[in-house]
Amino acid sequence: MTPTFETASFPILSVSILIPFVAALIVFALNEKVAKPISIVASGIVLAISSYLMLVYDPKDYKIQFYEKYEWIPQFGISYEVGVDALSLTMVWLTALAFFVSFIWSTNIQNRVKEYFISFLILEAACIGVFVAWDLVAFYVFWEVMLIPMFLIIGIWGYAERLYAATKFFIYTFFGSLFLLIGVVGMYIYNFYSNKVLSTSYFDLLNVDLPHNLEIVFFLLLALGFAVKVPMWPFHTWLPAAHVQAPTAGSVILAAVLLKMGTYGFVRFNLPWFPEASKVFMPVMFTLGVIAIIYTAMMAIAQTHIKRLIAYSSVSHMGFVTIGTFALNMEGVNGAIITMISHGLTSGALFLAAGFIYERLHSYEMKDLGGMAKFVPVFATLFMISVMASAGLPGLSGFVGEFLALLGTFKVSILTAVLAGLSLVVGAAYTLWLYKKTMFEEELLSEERLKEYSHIKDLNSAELWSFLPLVIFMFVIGTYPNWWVNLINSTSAFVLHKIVGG
Amino acid sequence: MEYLWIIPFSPFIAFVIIGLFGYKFPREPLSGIVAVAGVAISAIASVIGFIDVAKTGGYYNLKLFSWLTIENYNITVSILWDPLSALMTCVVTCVSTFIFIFATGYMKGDESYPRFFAYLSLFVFMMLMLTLSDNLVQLFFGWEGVGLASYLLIGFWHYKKSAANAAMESFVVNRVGDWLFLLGILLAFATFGTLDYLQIFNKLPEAGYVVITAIALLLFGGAIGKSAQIPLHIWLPNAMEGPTPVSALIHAATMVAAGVYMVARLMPVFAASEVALDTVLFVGTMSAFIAATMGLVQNDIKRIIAYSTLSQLGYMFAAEGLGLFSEGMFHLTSHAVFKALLFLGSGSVLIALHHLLDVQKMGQIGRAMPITMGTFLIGSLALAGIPPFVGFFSKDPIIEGAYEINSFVFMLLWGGAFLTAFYIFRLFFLAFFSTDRLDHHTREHVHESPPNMTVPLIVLATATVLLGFFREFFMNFLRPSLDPHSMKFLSEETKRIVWEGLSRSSHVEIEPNAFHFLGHSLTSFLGIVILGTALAGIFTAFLIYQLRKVDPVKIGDMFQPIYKLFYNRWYFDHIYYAIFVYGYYKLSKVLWFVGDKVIIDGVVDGSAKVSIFGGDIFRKIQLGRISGYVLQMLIGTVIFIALFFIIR
Repeated sequence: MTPTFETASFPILSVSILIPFVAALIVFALNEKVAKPISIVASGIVLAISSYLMLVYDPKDYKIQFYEKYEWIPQFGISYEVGVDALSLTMVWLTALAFFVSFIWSTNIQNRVKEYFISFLILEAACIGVFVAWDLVAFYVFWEVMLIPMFLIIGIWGYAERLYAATKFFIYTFFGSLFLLIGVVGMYIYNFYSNKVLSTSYFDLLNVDLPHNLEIVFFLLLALGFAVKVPMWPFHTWLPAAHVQAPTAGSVILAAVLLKMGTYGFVRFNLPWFPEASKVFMPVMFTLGVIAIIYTAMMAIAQTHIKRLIAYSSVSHMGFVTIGTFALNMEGVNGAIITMISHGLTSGALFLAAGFIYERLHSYEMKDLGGMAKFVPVFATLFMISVMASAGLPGLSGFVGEFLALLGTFKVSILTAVLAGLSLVVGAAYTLWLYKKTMFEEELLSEERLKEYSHIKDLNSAELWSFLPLVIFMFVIGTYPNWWVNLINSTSAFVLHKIVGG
Repeated sequence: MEYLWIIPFSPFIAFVIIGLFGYKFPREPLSGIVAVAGVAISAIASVIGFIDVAKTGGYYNLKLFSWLTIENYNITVSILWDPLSALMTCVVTCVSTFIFIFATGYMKGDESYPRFFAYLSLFVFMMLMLTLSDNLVQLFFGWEGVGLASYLLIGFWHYKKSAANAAMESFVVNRVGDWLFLLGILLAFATFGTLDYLQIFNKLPEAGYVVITAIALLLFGGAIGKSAQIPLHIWLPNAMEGPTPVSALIHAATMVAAGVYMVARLMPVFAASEVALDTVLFVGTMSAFIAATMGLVQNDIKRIIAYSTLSQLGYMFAAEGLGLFSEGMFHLTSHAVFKALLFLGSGSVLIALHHLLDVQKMGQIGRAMPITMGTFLIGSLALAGIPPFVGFFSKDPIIEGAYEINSFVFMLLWGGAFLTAFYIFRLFFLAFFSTDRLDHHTREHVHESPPNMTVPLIVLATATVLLGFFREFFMNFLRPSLDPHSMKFLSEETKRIVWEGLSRSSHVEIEPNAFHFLGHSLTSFLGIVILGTALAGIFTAFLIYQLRKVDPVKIGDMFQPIYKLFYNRWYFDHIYYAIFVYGYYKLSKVLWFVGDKVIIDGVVDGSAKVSIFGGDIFRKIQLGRISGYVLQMLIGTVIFIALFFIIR
């Protein structure tokens, strides 16, 4: 099955990549006062474009839409090739939303304001690039470009141990990327060797007929690259460190967007390129997924630092994406993609909440927190909704993805589904623990603390408007998942076409 | 029947209005009024629907919208309106209405008054989504939704550590049940390819016995959590941290009965598996007895009633396990009414005594609050199973049925009946009569509650008196939903399976007519024994706590080990705390330290250190002197040549 292409009459995806980049140039040229408004407008336009694309995207048959291709280095078969299917599109939309929200939130940046916004804008351009690129060179360039602004964001605007965290983040993910690079180059060479064609296009490499052993090797190389990014257990320890040190907006982007790159890679490359190896590695992936779900849920409840708790909860949720993906059936892959979107919303909202709490009480440690609910009712409500969505309450977004992923998994491995389902219990335990320790138990506060608390202000308008879109979409996905599933159905079918046939 | 959608969405609209604007209302009671209006409208609609379905005995299936499509199956938001769901819906909405009215008085002056009514309305919406559902996913939505509402309401006074803990405990323990329930849903979907009840029923003949048993048991696991049956019962007594109307509505009358309703709703599935029915029977019976023993020795007025709820839910499950589904549902209805009455009565006591909970410190308050006392007495008599109150007509048939079917179950249920009568009258005498043990200050303020609290009490008391006489009506009414021969939506083959499954109770004839049942009960040996047991329980309580003929402390000393066992609630809480709370937390801490910090990060940071260390060594070779490099080059050349010879 070779997908068909629907060439764009207007290069709308390239424009989407360029807008943040151009905005970064403008911010660079102007002064720091306009940095925030320009960033908001730029990301707002990108969000509007991606929302529009989602609405006009034709989900019926699988085709790459809004497709553009320009020759770049034809001698080596390298071109600039962008386009979207539903997986790319929803990820682009999620990226745009997360950046939009982060820009609105970022009011309290004191030092190097211009550089802060420039870093985020370049990061946004790179992230969108990763999701829309179909040429492997372009993909890999975007993939690596992403690291630099994120490294700066953690390293400059982070907390006390930011340099350790930033370095760990960089080296760890870079380490993973190298395997990815080797894998991709290997595919490129093998394609030349067997088909006598030099091409870095995704679609050309899709048709490479790999011998079994080589398929396994390439699968492993790519999987290692993506596993670090997801992160899958046991490659996850860079994430808590990075989250703890990153500024709030950085954490939001890291959780909502950057983690999706890994799972995006699995769905985009590993399944269609290496169908046989995917089947072979299904048990391994299930095991790692289940360990991620349960083990990191236990990690989460052992934390006293609320951002580290939320970071571990991210790893736990990504475990669902892993098992859903490697269930290798429609329900599983649909569930994985929906969980990716949902996790973007909930983890983003939870990191915003952590940021909100820090702004008010200047601590992330549970022993300094607690009893806030009464003083900040609006925040408490939105936080509760986010917590419940994260815990997978039906009617909110988290449940849909987990339900589908479990359904898909159940069909191939009952044991995996049974164990993964335990996240219902352990997941509820750490999220409610987080909520209790920050919001409840006012009676444990001393008199002095209570006096401090009475000055706490509820969400200001910037915070409210960055929270609301996330919460609204938790409801939208939770109450009407059919629209989203219809959107991604044909894409999931394409991803699986070599595995289940058809 | 399109108007049925009003039933769930009217409280939902009230929830949205109060949630968004509650704190902006100019006067406090307004949010209460909106909430009462919301639930009253749905009560009226459901009563109309109830009458409709009583006339025709049919069923209606309304599909509202399609939520999610998997393969060819549409998970829809829909309403299944048949006698069973109509009964449950009416119980929920009608009892809710009176509890809402009571709450407008009980919560007066609370700074979070609007929030309370928003949560209550949310609860009713979720509960109705549960009762009205025609498929397992919507049921699960309501199931978890009521869990959320319950969490929010138990933790309503979240400034208290105890309330925050109880709320969290209830949610997490319920999630254990929900985990099993969700697995049940997955297995059902994998087996039947559908999750609509009616389609599942008709596909039962195609599925294997083991699979059906597994599905039924997994779903029942959910019911054990939600209905607080042993071994997942521990959250319910702690849930009494919530305001009393919450205890009445959620933790007595409606939500905790959801498990009983679910089993009745899926009666054909359970009936198709003997093992499943036996499990329901066993869990129900054990809960009925063990919870009653726990209730004997508690001193917290609300916890006594909470243990009684556990125990009565056990009776309902036992009835279902015996195959007497209609009896189980009738006891559910009856229990909803008299237990709501008892809880509201205790709420009225709490208001009068400034939230004093310890019955040992009460006494002699009956005279000051006659309405509360009178209605509480009616509720207690109903719970004890004394005619003509409704509890007699709903509980006695279960015990009599058990006598015919399984003598072990009978013994425990019969013993439980004695304990029930004893503990509720222990509470009654200690609180309302006995000696005056109130402190002076509280004594001065004891007063009868205002009309918006007493009127609901009187209405519920009246219902407790009258409802029992409608026994025959209820039995006939439920027939199209629970009697396999009259169930129109079952195929012939399924009917046969269900009929076989219920054969354990086919020889049991329990008089449906209330008057005949009363007459039979007063003339047959078994009836007199059961009734006598209840009276004996009351009389024992009277002897010990009113006349003080026997000192209860002495009895406690005499049976020290048993007393301790009961008082410590059979050590369930201790063991669970040690393993699942303390143990889990400590294990997580240790794993975090060993797994993440030492092992994984040890490897990661270690490899970084190795490369720094290695770099340091190699740095030393970079001498920067030509002679050094020439030497290295020479060494290199020698190695290469050597290698060349070795490999060759």
